[in-house]
Amino acid sequence: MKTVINITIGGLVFAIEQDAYDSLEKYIKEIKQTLVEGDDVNEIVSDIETAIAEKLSERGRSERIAVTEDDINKVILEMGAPIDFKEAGGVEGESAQSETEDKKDEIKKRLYRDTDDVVIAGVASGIAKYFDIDPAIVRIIFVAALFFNGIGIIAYLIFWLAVPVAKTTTEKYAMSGDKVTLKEITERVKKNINDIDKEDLEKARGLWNSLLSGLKRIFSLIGICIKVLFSILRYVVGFSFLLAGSFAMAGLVSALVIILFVDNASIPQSIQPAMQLVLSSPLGVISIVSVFLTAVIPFVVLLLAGGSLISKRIILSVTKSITLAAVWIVALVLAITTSAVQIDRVLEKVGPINVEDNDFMININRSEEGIKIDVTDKDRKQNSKIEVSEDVAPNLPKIEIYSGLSFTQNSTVINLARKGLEGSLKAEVGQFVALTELDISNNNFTDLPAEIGQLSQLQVLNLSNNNFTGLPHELGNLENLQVLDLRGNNISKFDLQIIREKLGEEVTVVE
Amino acid sequence: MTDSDGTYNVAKVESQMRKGFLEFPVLLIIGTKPTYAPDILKQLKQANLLVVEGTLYPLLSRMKRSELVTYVWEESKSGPPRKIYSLTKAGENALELIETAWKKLDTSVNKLIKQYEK
Repeated sequence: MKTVINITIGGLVFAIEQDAYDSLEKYIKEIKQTLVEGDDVNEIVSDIETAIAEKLSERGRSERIAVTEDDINKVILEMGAPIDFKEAGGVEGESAQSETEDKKDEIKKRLYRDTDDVVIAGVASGIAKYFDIDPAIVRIIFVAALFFNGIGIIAYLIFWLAVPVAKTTTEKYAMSGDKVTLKEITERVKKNINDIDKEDLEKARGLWNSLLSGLKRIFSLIGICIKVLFSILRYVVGFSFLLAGSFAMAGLVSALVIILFVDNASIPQSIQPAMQLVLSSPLGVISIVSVFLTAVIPFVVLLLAGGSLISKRIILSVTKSITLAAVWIVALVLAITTSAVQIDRVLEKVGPINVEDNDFMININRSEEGIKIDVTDKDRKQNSKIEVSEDVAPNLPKIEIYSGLSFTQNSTVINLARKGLEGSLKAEVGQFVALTELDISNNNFTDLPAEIGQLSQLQVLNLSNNNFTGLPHELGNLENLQVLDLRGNNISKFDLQIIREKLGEEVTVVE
Repeated sequence: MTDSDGTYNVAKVESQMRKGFLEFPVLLIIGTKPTYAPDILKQLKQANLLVVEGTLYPLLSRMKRSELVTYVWEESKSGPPRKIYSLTKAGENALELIETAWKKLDTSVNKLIKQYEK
């Protein structure tokens, strides 16, 4: 049997057992004590009471069915202990407290380097946060200051060394903190000066540490400098690669297009006939294309390398590079084998190639040993000679025409002038069936082999300024001979007469 | 978040997390439709966001005082009149701001979670 009290909670009447009432009263009192919000306490408590009243009536409690202590305990469990209210309300308590603190003593703003917004070391962004302006403005000022004897760099380095990085959230918050007045700054400076006097000893001890951290900062600075330099270098090199590669490619491609598809009006006059000859055969076109590919692929690689450097990722994949390398090697081999034949053809049909411009002159001609390329640098007056031996056309057999002098069998022109040769040519001279011109002038020859008569294609035979006293009868077999130069020899008038008769009137004999 | 004996109390962290941002869900509930306290509680419980019911009342009082919410009295058939809470203009603005902030926070935290779970 228990005492029952009638009470109203939140406007509802309840019959409540004595011990339950005690618990409830204690609970409400505790809530009132924990809440320290002035006027609102009553309102909160009345809200809570209303809530309790609703909970109790939901459980079917009323003036007729008494509220037990068990009911109250369950309600309290649902509502939560006052200590929990305090924690939730604590947010408010704290904020109320900090509000008043803020008014007196705003969060100290400090200059930090802002590593969240970094170009070099976050100096500019830190300063920008401190003064609450856009970092871009600070950066522009730093860059502009570069032009005043490099003050920008020096100032930046000093800031870098002197200003710490904002590491913790508090520090980051303190970066932009609240507004700082001039008065506060001067006060802080004064206080710092006082502190220095007091803390001289401690400072001395801390000096070593700050020296160490300073050194660390210097090293990291050097590291970053190197990094920055490297990235600048990366851009410069990458950009020049891109530029060189694209210009070279553009030049080569337009050259190819002009040669292959456009009338050769843009080609230098001196090489027009040669070009026409080369283009007349499919092999010549292959030669030009393969030379083009050999030249252009390295520039493609250069271009891609430049792109990779700037974009910081490798544009050229492994498969692509292998393909490129394979194409290049094939083109190179083709270029070497086909263009040797083409150059030979040009020299044979058109004559020596002369390419000349303001700086240099290239002369390509045939010589006894093969193809001879003379490159003359007009500025330096240097003359470098490239002798391309006929080994580049390995399939053609060579025949010795004079001791130590060999020519390919299909040679059409053989020039042995001014070599100081004597005696006679070898009998093998008869094997040069394609020969149209033979020049052995200005030597000391005395005889010609009879096999000379087998040169059915020979048109020009220059024997001038030698020691010939007579010539073989077989000269009469040279069906296509047009010019025979016999000046400066010891051939008697009688013999000359016979020679003229043998050769007929079509042949011009120069005496 | 450390108990007196120095151990890290996970449950406490969780409850702190819920308490810390209870204001936002409450604003959301009231913003959806004017509501009275027990209904707010019911929805919070369904969303599994509430630690103890008692926390709501100081919170509502605080929000009323900062003029984020206001209430009107409404007669009830069973029992005392009820306070029906609704958002003020300032409350609507605040809710919008908090929502943006929350979405940002959510993205950042999710990113970290994904990064951790990888």
